[in-house]
Amino acid sequence: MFALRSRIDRFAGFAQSLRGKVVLSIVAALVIVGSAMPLVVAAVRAQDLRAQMQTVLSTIDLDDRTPEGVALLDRGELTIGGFTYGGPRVMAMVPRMADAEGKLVGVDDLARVLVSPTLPTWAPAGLVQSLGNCVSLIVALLALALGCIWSGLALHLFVIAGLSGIAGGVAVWFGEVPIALAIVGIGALALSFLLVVGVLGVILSGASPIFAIAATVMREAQRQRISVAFIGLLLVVLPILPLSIDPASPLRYQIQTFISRGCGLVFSVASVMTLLLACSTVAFEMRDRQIWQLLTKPVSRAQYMLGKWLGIMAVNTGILLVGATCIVVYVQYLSLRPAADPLDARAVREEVLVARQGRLAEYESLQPERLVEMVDQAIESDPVLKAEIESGERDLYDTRVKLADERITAFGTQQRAIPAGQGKAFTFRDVAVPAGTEQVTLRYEFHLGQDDSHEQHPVIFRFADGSWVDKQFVPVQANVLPIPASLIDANGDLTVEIMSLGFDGTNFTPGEGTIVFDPDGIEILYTVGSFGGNFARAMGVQWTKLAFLAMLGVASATLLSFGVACLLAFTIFVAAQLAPFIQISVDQYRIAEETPVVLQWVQLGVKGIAFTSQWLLGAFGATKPVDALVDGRAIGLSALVQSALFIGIGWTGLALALGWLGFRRKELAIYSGVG
Amino acid sequence: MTASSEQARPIVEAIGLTKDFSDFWMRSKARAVDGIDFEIREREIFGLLGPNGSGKSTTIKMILGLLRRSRGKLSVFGRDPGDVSVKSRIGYLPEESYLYRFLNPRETLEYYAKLFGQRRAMRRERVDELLEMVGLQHVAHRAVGEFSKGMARRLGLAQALINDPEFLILDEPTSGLDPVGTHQVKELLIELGRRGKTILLSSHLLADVEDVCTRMVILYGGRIRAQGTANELLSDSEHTIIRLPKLRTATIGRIDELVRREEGVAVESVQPARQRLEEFFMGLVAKAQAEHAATSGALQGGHTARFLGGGAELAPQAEGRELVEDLKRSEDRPATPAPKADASPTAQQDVLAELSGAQSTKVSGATPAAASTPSSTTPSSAASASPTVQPLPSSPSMGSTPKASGKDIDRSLIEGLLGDHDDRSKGTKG
Repeated sequence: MFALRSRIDRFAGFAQSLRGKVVLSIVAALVIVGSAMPLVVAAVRAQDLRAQMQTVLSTIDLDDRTPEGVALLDRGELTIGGFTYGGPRVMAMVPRMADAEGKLVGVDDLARVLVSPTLPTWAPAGLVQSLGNCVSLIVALLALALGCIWSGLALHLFVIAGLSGIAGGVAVWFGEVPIALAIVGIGALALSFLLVVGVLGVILSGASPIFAIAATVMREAQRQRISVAFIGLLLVVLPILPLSIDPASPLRYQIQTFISRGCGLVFSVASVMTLLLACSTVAFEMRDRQIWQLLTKPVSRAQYMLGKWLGIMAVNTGILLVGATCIVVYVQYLSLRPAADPLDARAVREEVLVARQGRLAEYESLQPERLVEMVDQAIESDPVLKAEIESGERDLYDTRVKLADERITAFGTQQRAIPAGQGKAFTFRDVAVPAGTEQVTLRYEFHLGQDDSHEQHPVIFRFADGSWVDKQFVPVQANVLPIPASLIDANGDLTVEIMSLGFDGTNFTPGEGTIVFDPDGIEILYTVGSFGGNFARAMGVQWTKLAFLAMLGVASATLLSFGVACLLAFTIFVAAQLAPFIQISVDQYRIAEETPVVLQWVQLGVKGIAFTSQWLLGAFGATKPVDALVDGRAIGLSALVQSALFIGIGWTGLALALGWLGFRRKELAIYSGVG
Repeated sequence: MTASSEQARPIVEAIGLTKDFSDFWMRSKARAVDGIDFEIREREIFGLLGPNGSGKSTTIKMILGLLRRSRGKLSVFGRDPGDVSVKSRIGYLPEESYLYRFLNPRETLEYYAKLFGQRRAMRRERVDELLEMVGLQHVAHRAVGEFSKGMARRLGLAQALINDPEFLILDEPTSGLDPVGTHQVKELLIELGRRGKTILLSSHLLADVEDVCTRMVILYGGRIRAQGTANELLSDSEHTIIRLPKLRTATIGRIDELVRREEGVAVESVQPARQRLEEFFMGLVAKAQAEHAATSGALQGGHTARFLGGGAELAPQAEGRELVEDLKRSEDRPATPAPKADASPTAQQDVLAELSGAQSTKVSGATPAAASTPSSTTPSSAASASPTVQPLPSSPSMGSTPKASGKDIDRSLIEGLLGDHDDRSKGTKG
């Protein structure tokens, strides 16, 4: 053991020297490039073959009944260079990949499906199918290895890369390529995290109290069990997450599931770790009295709190950077997998890996005068109700409010109800599509009858230029309809008439019932940005939320013990996360009149607390960047700025101010005498 | 020192200082400090003594701003103790070393150095010097959580000195240290005092305080019971101790007759001389080190770090008669080891004559004189024959002199001092 330790020390010393770094850099480059060479060769071959296939497929017209076309349509086969590719799976896809003229669309996807059986089983398909990805991977691994070597992490690189390489190799030997990828991913993630944290440590190496405290917090996070456990959990589970996704499901669902679970995992782990680390680093310093030696130096209490906060946020930055990179890389890898069908492929391209803006339809609103008239009419027309009001059995105000609610709801429902055989026009305003946009998407989710998801019902959409299209919809499921962007008028308005009608090819027939939908049941969506930019903005919003949590924990712990600080901080965190749900609950909460008075007061108190918490913390929970990402919806720069201002600066600043007000007067020493 | 303590400006001033502790319901629980008045002046080593619960730590914490005073006035460098700017001039070693277990010594000292805004080059230099000074350079990369108490204490001392403080507050600095470490810390304090630092020392170990402190205050029940210099507090004007080489019984008898005839008093006791255990222990350790005996314990500390200078002029080194004259002139010098007196018989007789001419003495029970005397001495306090004379350094064979002695000082330390003296910008000669 001593000999091993001594060798390790010698290696560590060698790795720190300039000569050692150069030698190790060359060795690392040779190992990485050498290991990746078979992958590159396979990718080049696959690329060549795919190019040949695309050339042939793009000339095929299924209606011409050429030998190639017949082979493709009848057997799903394509012959290139004397070799035949494809089979039943391709045969099932081909009919759906031809347009009305018999020309194949999605040639690239079809070629990928044809090539995929020829790929080596030891290589991940997403890498072999794209030479660019292979090169990117090599470059990324080289950058990681060299970064580790030149920043003093050579020993970590050697150990982690060695162990994960050996374990991954064993997995590949047994044919478990996904597991091998996961193991290698864990190693890469761990090294990336160490590297990022090392860089952040260099940034925070300045000679100032705030930076010094922050750098020490970072060291604490890497060396103390509380935080190491969470960071380790994230670095291990995130690469394993893809194994939990069903590869047989449509590609869009695989990607959406991974984004949802991955981002959720990163934020959840980071949030909990933030709160625990923030509370522990301050509370334990007070308990163990390191704070005595610290605050007898020229460090103000505000600097102390800021330093702690900055250190925690540096760790969070590392976690978000590494976690986000892992998610983006894997999503890009997933996107290269063959889609289930062209619709699936289109959905991935246009609905998931994009940033879309949505516009809801504009509905007529009930005028106040009309509402009052309707309420009065309802009272007048109901003698029993009127008598109860006059006798005092019912309160007039409460009754009028209840009737008004019912009238408003009914009016709205009527707006969004389309009886069988009829149609209604809906206008979408401010559809500001970027120049060059060819089409937008109409998302619609209808209810009809019993909402049986096994049934399909007809609907026709008619547009301002007179064109129309008939569709079948499944109740309570989101359906999409591409619409040419040219139908948007000069004011940015788009009008769509929805008709509860069917078309059998010759005649129009009434629909099978009244189509009803929710206020957000129809929506126009259009692309305004890329997935990468959207993802970055989403992580920015998450960062501002973590900033608030970090300061919440630090401020709590300056006044409270570790346990109580954790309890307070977690309570606020959970209340903030659940704020939207609490808001709905508060809106629908009604205190029954027959409840005993004491209980009524209790219920009133509970409602008051719930209302206050959702009012104070509503913005935190309402900001859901991950949900937007999963739906391919844009997180605008304004949303990011708003989050940064309100949550990042406003709430965080408020927590700092409140904590400082209490902390500045706190006596740090305790009575240690007798009695 | 060039200026007397009374002329030096006060670093800490406390007037009617009181501290009451309350419980959660704001009811007064205990009065830890009760209306104390004291001053700590520039360049003195001030002792704070008292049993457990006497208010020492509470007083220190109020000086540091960790506690707020309930009543009275307290200023540090003329400002409120809570003023952050004051803390850049203070170094503090608490009674326990509250260090970060997950940092190593180098990281710990770097951290504290950064809090003072020290640049990298200065930090590196100071950290290296301090680690060598406290003997932790070989474990600079080991986590503090693995340290023994003594090692942690050394590191704590190093962090207290990282900013070259003007005012050093040490609460039980020798706690957890072995006798070697304790000796080194005391030497370091004396050295720092000589370099012009102001030191507040709180300790239960009375001998440590007596050895190094200029002035001291004794607390009990939150109140000052006694205050003054060691000489003022400990001098016994009723007795004289004369130190002599071993005498025959007949000679002792004749001395007794002489004293009876001249002074009308009798010799109260005659005892064989005895060195202090600390001196004996240090002698053994020094011998073992000279023999290069193996040890797995902590390494000895090195020289006092060069950057630890207060700019004060140091007392000139003197020997023999010059030393005696100097000692007699000096009023409030710290209990630093003066150079050894000239051992020649003529010099000894001169010294004895002067001392016996200064006041009446009794050959027993009093503190040892500043020259070699008949060996009827007792291991007692460090006051010399005159109220302001400090004892000579002693060797194990010379009998008991309680102070850290010049003879016991590492020669390399003296050479270092001499070298420092030559290098100092003020050109004070060592």
